[in-house]
Amino acid sequence: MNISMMNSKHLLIIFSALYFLVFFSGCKSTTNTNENVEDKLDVEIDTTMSTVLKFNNTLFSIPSPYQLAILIKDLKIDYNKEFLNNTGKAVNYTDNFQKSLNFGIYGADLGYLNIYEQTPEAINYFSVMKSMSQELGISSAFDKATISRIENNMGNKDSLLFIMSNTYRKADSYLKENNRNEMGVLILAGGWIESLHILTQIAVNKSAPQQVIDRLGEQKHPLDNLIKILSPYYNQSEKFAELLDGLIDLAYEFDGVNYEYKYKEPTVIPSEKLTIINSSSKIIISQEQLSTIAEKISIIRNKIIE
Amino acid sequence: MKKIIILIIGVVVILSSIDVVAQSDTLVKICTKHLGSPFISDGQQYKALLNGDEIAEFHATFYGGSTYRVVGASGLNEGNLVFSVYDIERNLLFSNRDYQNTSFWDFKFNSTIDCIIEAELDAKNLDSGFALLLIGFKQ
Repeated sequence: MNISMMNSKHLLIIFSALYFLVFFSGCKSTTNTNENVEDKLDVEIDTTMSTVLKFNNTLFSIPSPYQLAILIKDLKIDYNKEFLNNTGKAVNYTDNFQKSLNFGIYGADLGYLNIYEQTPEAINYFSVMKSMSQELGISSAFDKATISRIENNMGNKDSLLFIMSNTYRKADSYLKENNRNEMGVLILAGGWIESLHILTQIAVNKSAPQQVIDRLGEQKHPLDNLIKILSPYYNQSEKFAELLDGLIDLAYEFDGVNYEYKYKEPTVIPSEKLTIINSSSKIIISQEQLSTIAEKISIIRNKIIE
Repeated sequence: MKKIIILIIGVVVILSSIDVVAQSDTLVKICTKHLGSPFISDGQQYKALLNGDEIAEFHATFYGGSTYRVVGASGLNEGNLVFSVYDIERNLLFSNRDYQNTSFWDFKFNSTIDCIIEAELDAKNLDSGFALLLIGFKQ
């Protein structure tokens, strides 16, 4: 009898607790929601002074590989299949490290193929990526509906770029939310390395347009950002360390590239929600630096795709 | 008694997780609403947990000749996040504070510029929460 009464008491406590939880989660204001989030994550609040978060809250962006491919196409540079990583090599990538990097590489290649409207080849690359996404466990981003949308839009370059970019964003978010950030950063790294490889292959040509050379020189800060993103995983494996060492070595070469910047007041058009950034920058890069960068990026890429 | 405490803790943890996920989903919906065609996502999702007057920094390179859209939100409604764009010399290029904390703004770059985007909560609306920032470009 006593035990039964105790259980009833306990149940009453539990239901009361649940009632208050449900009640407050249903009625809370936006501020309360976030106070709860803060409590759950047990974060200390510094109310004494404004704080710039230097570690976890400093985020680094890597430009989309698709932007570089668009520039190359706009400059009327011929399509070259030789720039790309052969899909036949996909079977060689057995561990998640290789798969993630090469998933990024194939993604950049798919963007290049799509921009040059090489539909049959693009289908082939997408098929390999579809299979790799399952192996990497990111099929929640590459779900059936998305795959179907991609397949239906294979001939539509604009739609495909839009869908693929959003799919990458979802995969990036999924990996971050599920504590698999290292996989996400490797995919990012693979995409950046491949687009830089394509860019250098064009830039080393004597007839290369100046815009391509400039865009190559402008990769100095994205490379610094990539190194910062990858750095926390340096000790995770020898492969990670080797990749980072290669990128750091490449960054030393980029340090020699001269970047001149001149601030000019921006123009704001509030009715269009637009700000025109009038500041200017200039890249000065020698032919020798260009060749060394091309050589170093080729070494890094070859280790990844072998 | 121990089992009951564990059960309560379990329920609290599950409800907390649901709350965080729900808030995250709402943020993504708010931001992606403003990043439709013709803007193409850069393929990344930048999220940071902010408390009080903490500021998150986002480092990005914007290519010359391109137009970008920066979208930012926090909490369950628009207008809770203040974002400001600076160049590498810390010259202020834009702040949405001047435009009622608008959730998005477009930037046309004549030259390639490395920028720092600072994001902070509007203290009038939020004490703490996740800040989400998305970047898209236009062909």
